[in-house]
Amino acid sequence: MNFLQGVQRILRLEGIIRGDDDAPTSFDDTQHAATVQLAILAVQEELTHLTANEMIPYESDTNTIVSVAGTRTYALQTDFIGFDDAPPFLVREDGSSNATTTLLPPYQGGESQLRKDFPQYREQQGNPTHFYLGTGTTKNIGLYMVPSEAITYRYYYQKSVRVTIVSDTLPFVAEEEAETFIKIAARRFKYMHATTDVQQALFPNGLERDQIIMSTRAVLMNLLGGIKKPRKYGRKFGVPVAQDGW
Amino acid sequence: MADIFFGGGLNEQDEFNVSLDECTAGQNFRLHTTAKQFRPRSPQDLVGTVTTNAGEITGLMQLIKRDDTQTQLIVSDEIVYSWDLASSLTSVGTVVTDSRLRAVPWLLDEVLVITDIDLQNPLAKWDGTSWSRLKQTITGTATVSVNALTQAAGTATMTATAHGYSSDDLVTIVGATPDAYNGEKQITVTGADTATFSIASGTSSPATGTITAFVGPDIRAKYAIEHNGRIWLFNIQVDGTNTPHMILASGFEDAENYDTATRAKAGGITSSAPFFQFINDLRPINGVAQIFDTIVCSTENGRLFRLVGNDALEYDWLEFYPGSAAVGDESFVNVGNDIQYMKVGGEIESMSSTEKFGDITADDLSRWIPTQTADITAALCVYDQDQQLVYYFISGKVLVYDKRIATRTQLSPWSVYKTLMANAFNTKAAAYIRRTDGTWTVMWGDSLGFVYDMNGTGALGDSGDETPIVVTRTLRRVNELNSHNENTFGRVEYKRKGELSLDMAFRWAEEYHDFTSSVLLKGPLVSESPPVYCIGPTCPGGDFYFAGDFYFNAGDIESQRISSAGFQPVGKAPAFTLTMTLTSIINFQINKLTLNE
Repeated sequence: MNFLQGVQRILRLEGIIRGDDDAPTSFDDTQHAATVQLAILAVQEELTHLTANEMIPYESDTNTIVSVAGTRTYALQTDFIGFDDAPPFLVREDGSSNATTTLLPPYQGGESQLRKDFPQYREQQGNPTHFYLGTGTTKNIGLYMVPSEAITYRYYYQKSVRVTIVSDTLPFVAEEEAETFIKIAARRFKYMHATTDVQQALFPNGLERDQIIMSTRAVLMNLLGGIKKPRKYGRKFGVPVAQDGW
Repeated sequence: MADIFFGGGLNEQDEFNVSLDECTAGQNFRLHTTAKQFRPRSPQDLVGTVTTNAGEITGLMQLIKRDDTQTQLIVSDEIVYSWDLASSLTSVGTVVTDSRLRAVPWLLDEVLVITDIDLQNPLAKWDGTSWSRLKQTITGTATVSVNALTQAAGTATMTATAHGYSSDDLVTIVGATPDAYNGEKQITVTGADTATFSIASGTSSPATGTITAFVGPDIRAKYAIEHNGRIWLFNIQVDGTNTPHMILASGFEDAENYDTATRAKAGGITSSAPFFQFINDLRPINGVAQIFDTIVCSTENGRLFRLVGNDALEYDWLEFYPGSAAVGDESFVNVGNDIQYMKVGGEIESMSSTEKFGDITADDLSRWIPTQTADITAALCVYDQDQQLVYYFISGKVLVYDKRIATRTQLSPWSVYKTLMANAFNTKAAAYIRRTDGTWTVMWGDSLGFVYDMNGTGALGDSGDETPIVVTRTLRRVNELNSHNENTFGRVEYKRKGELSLDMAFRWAEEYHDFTSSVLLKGPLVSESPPVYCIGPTCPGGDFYFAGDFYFNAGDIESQRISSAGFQPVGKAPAFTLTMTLTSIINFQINKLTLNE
């Protein structure tokens, strides 16, 4: 399900698209402009909420950097949010065999501590033993020592799953997951779209304590879990266990 | 918030005086008393095209005879055409250009009496087959001796040395035997000493006796009205001399008998005699209309006058208040139960309220549209009795007054018609015309020889060439909603007449931008045929029964189905104005608009 389809689903769930309304085909739609914009916000906010609290499979990614002799800092992927593991590490890869040889840990205390411990860290070349998060307008890492040769390092990270344009895919592998997520976003949309009176009536405990949001988030977590335990859902409506061996 | 309907017209007054059913701006919408829908005006169907000598249409006239047969005249540039309301045009006469010819029926003789608002042409008549001068029964003082008068093949030839006449002069012959040669004749000059005119082919020739000829005066008039068994002519020119304050009344039951020397109520005049009058304030007469049992006329910068009396011994004019006069020369019109006219400043007034209340503007008919009428100095006004609409043709637009709305509601009865056609509704000729199917409409002509039906039924927009009609309505400022704190949303309910886009422009208070929601109004679905349940020998059980595409889903009167579409514009403010715009050739119908419900 892509972003546009998610927004369309919210508008349908909330009764915005009814009668002879056609679903918007772009975010530039002017007929439902206000609600389309609110639905976009609802999806983005709920997605941020989800990924800030939980690691979902769609977020995980990996990439490599190749050191250059004399170059200290290296840009991370543009969708880099944070390292996957705690504590993080870089994996040194040698050649095409992809065999790991060395794990580079982060320097304790970061660059700030490093420049106190080794004031020449910006020039001192050799075989890198640590990395540290760089500063600046783009996310990057620095290697200590400054590499003296080309070496490939792999890192595992959480990528940004933010959706912005109609064709962006919602970060869910299964449609059921996406649909459940949209149900949560639709509830958030309802909250945003409602008047104060309606908010107080429908959300007496606020948005985050809303029973529907909480239960649906639980459903989404179950779907994202990957491994299902046997459940009893609906069992009493089926054939008795003793007869079919369930 | 309640549903918004569209029962009222344009109301440019302060917003506190504007109903939500009205609009503060708008154009090309059609009002209806019982159906408060948002609908476009009728398209301007192109019904006549002058292809030869195409020029400005300066006259549209119709003669309906007692046997109910009808003929029409179109004046294009200097040619007068007989027109069958279709494609047949036959040249029947010539006139001087830059004229505005108007007609009044005189059914005693089954002719049209034709005048010229611009006084470029003498009085004329149309009898359904021929165009000719209207006789006057006024002999001139200059006498010419006729040396010979003969007849051959229905043409009389007059010989008079150096007669000095011009073709189409009205010449009165006296003293000839037989008497058929005598009387007022419209001549054709064939030489300095000869002229011809029509006469019965059996008339004996040559004529005998002492024969003399008198040329009659060239009488022109701006206006004519049939009233009380006479033709009344107003704003007269005689042999080039303007007497714009003059009124000529024909003899009783004799439309071709006038007298420029004898006043009404003069000593010795008989009750049935023709006569002349001067309007009381001696100002140029600039409008005249019949109302109930009398005539009312207006003078430039003067006042209105109402005719009283029953015959030449009594006729006189009563005055309204000073300053009650109309402006222009065609803004004075009978609208069935009243006379409407445009005053100085563009205000449109009714004669009845002028008569009842005198000099007061509170009841002006145009009080709803002060901006539209501001500083207008002239209009061509035509009343559509069938549609109960009064059209004021003004440069670039037509102001439309709906009598039904005015009499049944307190809402504004005004709409404004504009067009994307190059002529922009600019016209010198518009008239109430009966179509060949017996229905009535207003037709008007443009400067290129085209004639349009104001109440067209075509499906291809103005002119039938897919020129769209831009229809707009702007609601008055909406401040009943809590639109500062809540989202504004709404639904529009419509009939599926055809697919078109409705642009809803929200102008938010306290914001510097407008936002336009474009709402697609859908057209009919598949077909408008009745549902088909079973077709052909394969029924039942074949492809078309129970299992095929044609069962339970095909056919419906989809153009009659009520549909709705929602919209949610971006923006928040304490109030907003909403302009609805549709640019289309489709005869759409929007039933209502609902906001925040």
